[in-house]
Amino acid sequence: MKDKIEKIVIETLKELNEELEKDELENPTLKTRLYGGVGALDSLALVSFIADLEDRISDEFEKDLVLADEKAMSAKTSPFRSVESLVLYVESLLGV
Amino acid sequence: MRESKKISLEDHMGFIKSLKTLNDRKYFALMKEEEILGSLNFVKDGKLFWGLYFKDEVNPMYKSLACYIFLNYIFSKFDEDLNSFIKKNNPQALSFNKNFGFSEYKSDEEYIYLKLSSKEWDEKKESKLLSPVKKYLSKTTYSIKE
Repeated sequence: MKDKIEKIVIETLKELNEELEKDELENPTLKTRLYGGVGALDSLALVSFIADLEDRISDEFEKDLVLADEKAMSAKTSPFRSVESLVLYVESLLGV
Repeated sequence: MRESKKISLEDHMGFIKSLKTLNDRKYFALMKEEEILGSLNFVKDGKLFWGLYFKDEVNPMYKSLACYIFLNYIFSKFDEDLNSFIKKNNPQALSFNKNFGFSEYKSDEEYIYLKLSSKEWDEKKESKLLSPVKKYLSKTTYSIKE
């Protein structure tokens, strides 16, 4: 299950990067930094990524998810800081 | 921000009062419930400009959605290029504007100048970057109060 989430996250990032053309997103891994500090995404790109990812996760797991809730977006240790933290966050929301 | 000199309270209040009667500029507060998260404005002073300010800690979702809505609003009122100028030492703001479709057309010692046409904005909304935002917005409740 975790592998499937990771695959979806990485595919979504790669597709977004077709437009962003960021070197650090050409071959994303679990360690890729996403948002905040040296993250590859700015706020608009993050929103686009989250919106797309929510759709894909919902389709794949047949469960509606809200990734960008207030708590997650304002958390000091944001789940959007890296691919790895995001995969764990999605996994926890899916309850798997 | 272009002005760095001190402005007296009296002058500032006079400026705020004048905004209600001016049609060539509008200043909006971005609010969630009762909290002000930032502001967005346009000024038609020869050329048409927009300006943005958000609190540092504001949810990026609100910031991005508000700008998307505001660009639609501006282009519903004006059929001309929208301009922006960004300090050279502010790469985040530059990137943010460019992601909305703005392109550079000149620079000086302090600023980079950008513009966006209505046609470019319409095209940008269909891009890989903005189409998920557009879809997300359709699930969001918001209103513009003038």
